[in-house]
Amino acid sequence: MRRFLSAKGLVGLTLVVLIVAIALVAPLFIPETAGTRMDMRARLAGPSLVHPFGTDQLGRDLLVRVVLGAHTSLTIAGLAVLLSIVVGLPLGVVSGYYRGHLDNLLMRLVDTLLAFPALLLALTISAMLGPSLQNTVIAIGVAFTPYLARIVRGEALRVVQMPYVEAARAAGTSDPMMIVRHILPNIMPQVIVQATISLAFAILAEAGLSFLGLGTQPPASSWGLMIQASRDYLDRAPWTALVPGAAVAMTVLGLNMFGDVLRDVLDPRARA
Amino acid sequence: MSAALSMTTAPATPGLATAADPILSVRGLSVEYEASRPGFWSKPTRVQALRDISFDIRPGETLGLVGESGSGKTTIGRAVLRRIDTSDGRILFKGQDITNVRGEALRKLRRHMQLVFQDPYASLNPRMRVLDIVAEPLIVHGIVRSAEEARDQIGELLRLTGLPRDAHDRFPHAFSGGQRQRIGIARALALKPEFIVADEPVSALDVSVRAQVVNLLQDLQKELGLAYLFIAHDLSVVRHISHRVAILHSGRLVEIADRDTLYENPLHPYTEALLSAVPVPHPRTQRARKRLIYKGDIPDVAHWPTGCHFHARCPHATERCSLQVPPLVRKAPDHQVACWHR
Repeated sequence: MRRFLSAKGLVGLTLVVLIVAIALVAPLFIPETAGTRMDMRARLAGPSLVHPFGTDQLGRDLLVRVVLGAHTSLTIAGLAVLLSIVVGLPLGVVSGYYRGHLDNLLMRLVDTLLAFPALLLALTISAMLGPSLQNTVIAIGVAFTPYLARIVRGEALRVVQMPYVEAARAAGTSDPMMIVRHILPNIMPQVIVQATISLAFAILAEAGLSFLGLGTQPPASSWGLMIQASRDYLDRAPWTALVPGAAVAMTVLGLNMFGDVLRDVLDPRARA
Repeated sequence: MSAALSMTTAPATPGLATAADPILSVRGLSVEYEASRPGFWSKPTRVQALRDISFDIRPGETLGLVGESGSGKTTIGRAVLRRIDTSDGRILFKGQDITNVRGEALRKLRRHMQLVFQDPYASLNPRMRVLDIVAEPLIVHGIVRSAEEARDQIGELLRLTGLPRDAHDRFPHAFSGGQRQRIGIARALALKPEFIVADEPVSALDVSVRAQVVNLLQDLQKELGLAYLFIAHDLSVVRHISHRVAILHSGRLVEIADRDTLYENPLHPYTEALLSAVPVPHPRTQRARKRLIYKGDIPDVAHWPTGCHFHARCPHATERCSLQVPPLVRKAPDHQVACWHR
């Protein structure tokens, strides 16, 4: 626990908790219409008391939109990472535990997917399925699955050759029980750490897809969509890009720091 | 330190090595490993790890198995526990041929033979409580449904192995190396086996703790009538715990005898060399001893020489030794040696 109290741990934890709290709570207090209410007299207005972060090209309040966007961005990223774990974890465990031809087959499949950059893969899938929240989740989730499967397989390979697995075998433990009792608990820390880092990348991927018009669709707001809309006004109203950009940067930074510290904390040798 | 030294002179558990039917008999055992494939489509090359191994272990007896690194000690242990397949020979456990036992029968067999590991750190799952670790064999074999149900039974095992009463709910990293080894022993005992393979159980421990764990193994043998296959490379520990000792050299048994005969009257040149390397805890005696150092390298497992595997290093070697494999011949009631010149 003390490791969370390091500077890195505190900053990471604070950022993550703050942003997740905002994403969860904001939609309860801010009516959905607030994000689309236009103020035509104050288009591209700079930060002021009425609009602390300024407004966009349609006179919509950037603070409200970035807060509502947090919900969209984190939901998509979270669900996508969850999908990649649900698919990648069993694949990796089965591959690393059973080895042999099955492992070969699965890993060549994974290699094929890994040959494409994750974002390009997500882009292709998204373009094929058509833009919608659900399809964005699928696109990003599928694109991230091979990375997770690879990491899980490597960890499973490491754990399988540990003497305590041999000891359980000597006792007659069956394969399913071995996986549940010995393999999974000992690869979970790496999976959790990888998940936090994947979450950061998924937020970037969502922003990227939305920027290209394949992710979140207007009038809903997401960080990537906001950055996309801002690109025509960068010279006149740079805050329209800076506000959502800073939100993405802070979330990614927070998640990465959090993941780093989590890795240390979850090390069993550190537990007293 | 004194405990470690005194242990070399104390006798092995007396009176238990009887002429009863062997609990484990190994006859002509050979094991081959698949080595690297020279190419993707070609057949993997095979490496012979063990060749024509035969020995018996009687109930309540300890057979010490000694040999240098790579000689195949651990492979013998894995083979008799049926963790790896044999390429030739037979393994009999209590008169039953277990060479090709598989599936459910093998699982049942595992109740009777257990394993103690060398590394007390890696052999305990760091994410399980001691209670769960020791109870696992009981759950696996359907003796109890949950670890909690076995709490009292485990408590008895912990007491038997000299662990603190409150060890149940703690995790392995809360214990020292010696205590961890005791947890490993408690786990091996949970199913009340009759035969335990101890694969270098004290090699990773401090010298001061070694004696304690060896003595624990002896006490348990006395109390529960266990038979051990005790694998080690430390000759003084082996002398202390074993009733009989087998010397393994690059995949072949070269000598097997009861403990005192082997230590007092070794016949094989390799055994002589091994024994001469054991330090004696007395300066004058130690200085007066002759160290036998044989030149040459340990034969490569992948390219074993013809004839006796020791002939390249042996001072007595003749042409015959490089051509013909010496068989294991009985020289006395309980003394077998594989050498053309003895």
